[in-house]
Amino acid sequence: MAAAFNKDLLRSITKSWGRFLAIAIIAALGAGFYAGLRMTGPDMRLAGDEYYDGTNLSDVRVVSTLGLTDAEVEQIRDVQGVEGVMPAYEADAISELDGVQYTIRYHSLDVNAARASTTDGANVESSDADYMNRLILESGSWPENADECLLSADAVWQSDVHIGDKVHLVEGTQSLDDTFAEKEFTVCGFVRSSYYTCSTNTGSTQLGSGSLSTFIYVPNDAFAGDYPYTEAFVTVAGAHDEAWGSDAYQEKVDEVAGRIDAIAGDLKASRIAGLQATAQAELDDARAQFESEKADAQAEIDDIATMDADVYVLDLTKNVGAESFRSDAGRIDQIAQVFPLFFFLVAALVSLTTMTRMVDEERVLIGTFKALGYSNGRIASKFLVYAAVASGVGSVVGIVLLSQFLPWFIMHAYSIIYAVPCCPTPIDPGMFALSAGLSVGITVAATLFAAMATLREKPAALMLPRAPKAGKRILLERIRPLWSRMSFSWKVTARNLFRYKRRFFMAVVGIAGCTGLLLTGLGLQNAINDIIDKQYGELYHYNAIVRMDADATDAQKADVADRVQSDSQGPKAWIATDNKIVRTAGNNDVEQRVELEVPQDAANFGEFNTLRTRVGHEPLALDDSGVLISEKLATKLGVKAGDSIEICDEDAIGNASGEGRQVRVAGVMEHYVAQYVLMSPGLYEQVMGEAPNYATLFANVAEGDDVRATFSDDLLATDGVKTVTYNDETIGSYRSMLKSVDSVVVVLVVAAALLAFVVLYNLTNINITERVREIATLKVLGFTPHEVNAYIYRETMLLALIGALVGLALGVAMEGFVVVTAEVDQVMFGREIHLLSFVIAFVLTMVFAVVVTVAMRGKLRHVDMVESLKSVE
Amino acid sequence: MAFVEFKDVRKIYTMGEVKVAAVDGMSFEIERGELVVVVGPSGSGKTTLLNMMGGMDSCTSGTIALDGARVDQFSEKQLTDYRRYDIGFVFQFYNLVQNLTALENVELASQICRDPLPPADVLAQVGLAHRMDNFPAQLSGGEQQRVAIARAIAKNPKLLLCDEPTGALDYKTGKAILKLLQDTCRETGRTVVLITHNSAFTAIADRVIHVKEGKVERTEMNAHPQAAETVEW
Repeated sequence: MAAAFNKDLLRSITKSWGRFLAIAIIAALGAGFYAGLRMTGPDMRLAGDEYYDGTNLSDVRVVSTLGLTDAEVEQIRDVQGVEGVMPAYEADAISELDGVQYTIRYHSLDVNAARASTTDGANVESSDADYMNRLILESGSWPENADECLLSADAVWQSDVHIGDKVHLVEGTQSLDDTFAEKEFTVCGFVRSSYYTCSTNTGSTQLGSGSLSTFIYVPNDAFAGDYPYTEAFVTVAGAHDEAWGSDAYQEKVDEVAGRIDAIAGDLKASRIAGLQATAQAELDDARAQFESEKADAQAEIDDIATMDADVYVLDLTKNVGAESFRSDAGRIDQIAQVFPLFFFLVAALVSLTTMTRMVDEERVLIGTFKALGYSNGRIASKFLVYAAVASGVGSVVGIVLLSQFLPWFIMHAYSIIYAVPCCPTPIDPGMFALSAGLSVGITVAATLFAAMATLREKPAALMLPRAPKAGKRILLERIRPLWSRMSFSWKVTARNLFRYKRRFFMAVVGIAGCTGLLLTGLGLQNAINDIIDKQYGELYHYNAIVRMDADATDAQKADVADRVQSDSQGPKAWIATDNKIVRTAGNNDVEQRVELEVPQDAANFGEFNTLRTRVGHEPLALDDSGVLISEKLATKLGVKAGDSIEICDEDAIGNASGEGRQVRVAGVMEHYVAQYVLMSPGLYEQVMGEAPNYATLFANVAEGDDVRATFSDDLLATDGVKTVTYNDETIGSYRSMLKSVDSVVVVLVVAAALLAFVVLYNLTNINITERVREIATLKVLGFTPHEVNAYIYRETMLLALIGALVGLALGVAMEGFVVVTAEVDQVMFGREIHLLSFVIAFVLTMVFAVVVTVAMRGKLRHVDMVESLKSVE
Repeated sequence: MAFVEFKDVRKIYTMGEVKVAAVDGMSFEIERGELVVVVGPSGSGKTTLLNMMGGMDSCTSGTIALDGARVDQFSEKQLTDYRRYDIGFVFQFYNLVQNLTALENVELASQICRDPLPPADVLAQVGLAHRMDNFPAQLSGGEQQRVAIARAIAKNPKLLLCDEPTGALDYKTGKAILKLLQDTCRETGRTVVLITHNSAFTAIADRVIHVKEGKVERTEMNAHPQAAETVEW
């Protein structure tokens, strides 16, 4: 009951909006950020799930090194749990489009099924359960003829690519005639494929530089008549009912994948038998004509039996795009666990100080209630309910807003890399309850703490106005030389600051948080831009790479060297490169795909690629004592200079094959883009047992499109040259990938600003309200308004200054955490925060402080001398 | 056994090495239905004494008894109940809740009592029937004090304690308040204890307790208490 008591509570809410809002806003920030960030990872996975279900993405891919035929496809179809099977052709080829060379993966498309499908931009409907990895046609039309092709709508092309342009095959992993029926394609449309979720990383290949530029879809007929299926895509029954990425999904898929694995032996046998039958048939055909070659032909058939046929059963964790999307979502999860805690800490502090102030103001009222016989619990409930309502309302608003905005914003930022067309942001009730519960709980706990001490006092003591906190000497006074030089007003400021410890702490933590967030955002930008700036600005000293055929002759190489000499400036270096898998010696669990580089002139290689440690820039030498590895590789493998690593060959799928060869790590070099192992020629011969084959040339070509076009044309026309690429292309694609981070920085800055405002406003408000007598007295004594303002603002600015400095230190720690957690696999983020970032974060914080103080001027002006000095004792 | 009994009560404040005895061995008795005036100079311990009587403060030593119950031995919970059901307190500076109207201020007290008097009636009794829906800020000092008294009376307490109730009021209003208190005591038979530093008030009391430097100097009984409206000062 006690309705009158409740009326007092309600009216106290409406009477002090400023206080109510301060608590509500900080609760909104805390709960909102927590809920928003924690829902982002799940929302990303949900988006993936919707996209993959909508486009019938295959769950398993069965690949055979000898290919597959209808016989094997039927065997796969018969496996229990297999729902649909789509056999397909796939081949990599270096291709030329608009004068530029790209390394492209060609996929076959069932054009009839594609044409019969309908799409709404995110889902593709089709009656054919065997039509998988359904393409979404973004523009243009489906191919009519075998020599038409579909390009990726999300790829980054060097030049403007249109429908009607021609793509012309240059070279493949085997003779083009064996693989393709058509050698030139006309672009008829642009598509989006869920099989390639990541638009900047299409995958790796054995051709060219080792990484694919993009993918192309061509009709089935574009492939050679007797080219076997490369793979069979499989959907698992019931798998789409589970959420992609969840354990339940993985279990279902593992079950069926396991069964397919079990028949791998049969598939191999079936394929070999098939090959032999074909060879036998050819032999029979030819038998009448070429008796002499019969022996050879028979030998061929015998060889087939011993062919190394491998069948791989791969699920979505081996799909580069899907897996990288999943792990990026996981990264957000990690950040979400830690980052928002900071907001909760500030929320606790703000609530504590605000409610302490409220309890203090209502001291006499509390005493009156006690005198009337209200119990402690009842009286406390007034403040607890006030706090709960304020933080409850704030939390709900904050969660509703940020749980929609943050996931959308982050997914939108990532959309530069991931072409996922849907963006679901459902509100997870569990997370909602948890975030609101935490926020309200913290606020109420802080309130309880604030009220406890007062409630324990006797009513009589409460009726007397609280004795102002006794003056005392502060530590600073002991430093005599400093103290005696300070002016009176500064002495008062110093005393005030250090006496009210709780307020001091709250201000410093709040402001430090603001500066910390700013620095984290700016530092993150630095870290990311450094990847390109340092790698291509400080470390690499060449800008063009010429690759020759593996079997190019020395004469051809000499020819190329001469041309390069005349067309470019500066020195050139011959390198042997290859893709390898590297492991820690003695530990096979961690492996990493790397590019192994062996420069012909190891001693002078530093001219092309500065070799140094990141910390201290100590120069590293490349010699026979060991290999130099990139820093991220060292961290991943857990090795340092002096340890050993194992180098293995890579097979067609990308797994390690064969025996590992141990080498010593001579040094860990500063390196940001991709993973490298540098080896001297001498060491290479020792370890691999053969001389390196120098088929790559680093050179420096002048700027200018025409110069480069001439250079490329010249070289590509030369025998033995495979590709000519420029570093600028790589820089371009990385820069666009990293643009997504800019928007994250904006969010951080806005959050920091809000934080600073709430904390500073609250603090100044409390400061003024609590010291209204002091301020009124100053006015009575004849202080000018300017002097009165200065009295208060000196403290506010000094607090802001101290807070900002602490915040810079805090920011370094926070940025370090975010960088290490959010780092994408393909690169290493810069580890330095630029000086300018520190300056900007600091200055911006002080600017926020100044804005708040200016906004509070009015309040100081309105302190009424007479009213404030009325005494109650 | 007297209605209210104080036996050798002491209240000593310790601040560092300094010990201050606000009440230094007070003993007295009060009978039911009496109008008692406690008079003494500033700092003599009057307010402290009243606070201890009203369960608002604890004593360092001695015994305090109301209607046979040992108040000095009460636990926190017992003290809260004591204040709730047995005591009505009137403060010098009214201590009304600013957010509530006059009527609601009285309801605030009556809603938690066992046997309260109807708030509207009590307000009418103190002459504020027409001001029930005004907030304290809209009432004059005298009106506010009357609301405070109504609040105390509405609780129907055993003991009505008033700490310098006319301290903030002018002569005429102060007299009206005194009359109100005296009438309450006479008409309802309620025990009223009133503190003041103004010795003219002693004329209206049944019992006068003179307090000086924390001790009871002397106690007087008034055979013929004067009517409040006739007292001059």
